[in-house]
Amino acid sequence: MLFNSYAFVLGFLPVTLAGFFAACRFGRTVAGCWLVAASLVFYGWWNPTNLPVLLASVAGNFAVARLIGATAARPGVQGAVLAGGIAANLAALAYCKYLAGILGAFGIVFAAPALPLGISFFTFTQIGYLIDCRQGLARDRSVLDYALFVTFFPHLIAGPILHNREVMPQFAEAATYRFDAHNLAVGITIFLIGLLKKCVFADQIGAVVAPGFAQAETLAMGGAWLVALSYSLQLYFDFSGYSDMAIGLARMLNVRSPQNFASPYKAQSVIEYWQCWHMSLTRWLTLFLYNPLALAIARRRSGLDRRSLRGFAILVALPTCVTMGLAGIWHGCGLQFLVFGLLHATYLTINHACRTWRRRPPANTRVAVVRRVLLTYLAVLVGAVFFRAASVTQAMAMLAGMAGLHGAAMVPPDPATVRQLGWLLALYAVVGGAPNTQQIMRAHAPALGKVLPGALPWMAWQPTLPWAVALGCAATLGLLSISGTGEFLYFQF
Amino acid sequence: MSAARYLTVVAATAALCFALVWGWVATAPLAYLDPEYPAWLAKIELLQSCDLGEVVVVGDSRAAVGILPALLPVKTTNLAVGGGHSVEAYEAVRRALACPAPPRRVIVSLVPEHFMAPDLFWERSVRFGFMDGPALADLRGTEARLGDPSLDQPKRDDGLTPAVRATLFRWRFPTLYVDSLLKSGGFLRLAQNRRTLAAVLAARGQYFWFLAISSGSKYIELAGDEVDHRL
Repeated sequence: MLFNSYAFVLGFLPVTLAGFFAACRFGRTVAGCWLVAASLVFYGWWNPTNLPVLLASVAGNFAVARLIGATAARPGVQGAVLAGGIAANLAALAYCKYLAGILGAFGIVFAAPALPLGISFFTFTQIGYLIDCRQGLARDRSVLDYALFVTFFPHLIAGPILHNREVMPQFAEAATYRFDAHNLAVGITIFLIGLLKKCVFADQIGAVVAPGFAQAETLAMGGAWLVALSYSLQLYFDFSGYSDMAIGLARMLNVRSPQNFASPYKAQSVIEYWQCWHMSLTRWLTLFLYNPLALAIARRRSGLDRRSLRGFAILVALPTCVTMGLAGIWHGCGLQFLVFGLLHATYLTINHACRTWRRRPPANTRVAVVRRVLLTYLAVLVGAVFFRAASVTQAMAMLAGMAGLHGAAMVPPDPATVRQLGWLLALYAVVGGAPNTQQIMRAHAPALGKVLPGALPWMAWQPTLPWAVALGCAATLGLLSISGTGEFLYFQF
Repeated sequence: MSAARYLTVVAATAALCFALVWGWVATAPLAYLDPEYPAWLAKIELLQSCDLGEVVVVGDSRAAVGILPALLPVKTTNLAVGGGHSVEAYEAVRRALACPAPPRRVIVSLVPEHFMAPDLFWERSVRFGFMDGPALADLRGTEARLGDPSLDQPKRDDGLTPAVRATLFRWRFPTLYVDSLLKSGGFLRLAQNRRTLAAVLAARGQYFWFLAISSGSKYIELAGDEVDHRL
């Protein structure tokens, strides 16, 4: 089920909320069961045949987690159980997501099952849990707590990728199972902001993207830039909108989710960009992939100096390339995703090199800041072309068009183009000039993690009449626009 | 303001805004609907006036553009519409023949494909109000009698049954018109659409597409999509 569908907004959500708070009267277990059941309905709505995959994954990982706990006295066995659990998760992911593509590259036809929705997200969430169990960071939880943690519908399909330590304690708190009008107001506000971003901003600006990429071979410079810039904004508002909606939904149910998106196009470096874009994935990769890898390398090469060229290559560049390469592939089976990951690995390595060997701190003049933001955005834009393209060939064709290799013609001044340019300008003004949702809601602890200030006082949300009226208007616009919207871009992952 | 009161105001504002938008959508379609609409509206008005003359022309855009009543020796009305198929032609003739002074001749401009899946049936015929309630009911009855589901082909992904969709269009339910509202800024098409309506009425139904005279394109605006077809 899509967050941006009438079935969800007018049917599923009110019923789930009402049922949850009614069930809370009968105790935590009943309320938890209700939420799990609602989440399964949410997940199975689109394609019920996916449900067994999710249920098997939850049951299997819960059993492995229990086994890890039971073998705590025998570290060797415990390590083997963990390795087996991770391998099983990755095997399931590979079977569903990559096998057909890999075999297809060798000319072998393999009819893979339809990709279960959100499999990458719930697989990563559970792998993280297993690792935490091994490290003693995850307390022994009941099957209901665990099922709730994995299937909780606000984050089930496209994140944020939850960490058990920040969410499972919330499910154990009595306050989570009491109706809280303030949380409901905050949650609905965040949800509506997200709905507006997705249904009005992302879908309007994205109308040219699919036909544009389909014609990448022939697009001249103006058209290619128009399509690429439109896509970068579509992706931004789509994922930002989705993240807001997920965080808002969780908050309606008295649960605070981690931040997932914090004005990444204002980043002054690619390192900063990844700290603001899909933050929960970045955190997962850092915690469970980059850090262990870097630590293992550092232990084996303890004599290496990070400031030497060789030391930098082994201690920084290598783990970065492995992590980002895998992060790229995580998004899908296709060479373009690997190129996307490696491209960002290159950016990050250059960024780290600059920090390592920089003699002076970077200038903080307005011009220098704008220059860094633009350079970062340009680098990210090139990566986004690979991210969107159906193949490396298509991405290269689009980049060739942007470089003027298909002709330097600008876009024709027809009404549709003028409208698209108008949207671009308006949305860049929002991206560059407006605070993000977390900053607007900062006084009300919208999400877990530190939220930097950024909103002018009059833009900071409070439950006041002007905000209520503005949100009411936004709700109308968002709800009206639902009929013309499509699925979230991140659902495919 | 308490959270409960805040939520009440949000809900009340949303309901009020929705009602206002719905009112606008229902009463001022010329202000926001796409530039094909005034041409269809002109045909609807011509049919309602029953001032059709000796000859009526029905069919597709070729006839709508290519047959100029002003150049014909008898009083003629061009009721052909852009994207029109056999369904629209039949409906136009049915209504014309119900007039007190029905036309004596009908020129039909259709090709075999116009008897197959009517691709713009919902986007134009129903959305523009050409097929109104009784006409739709009659059509659906015929469809059921013949066991012909082609009006619903290709399947649309709006999750609505044809009956519900038809009702929502008849009520001009605003969610079905949002794309046009956004593209038109709500009212920016009013002046141009009025001019087009007047011009089409003056030409007794003949019109040029808004793109350009002799253009090979047709413009279709529908929820969440915009297509520029090369013919």
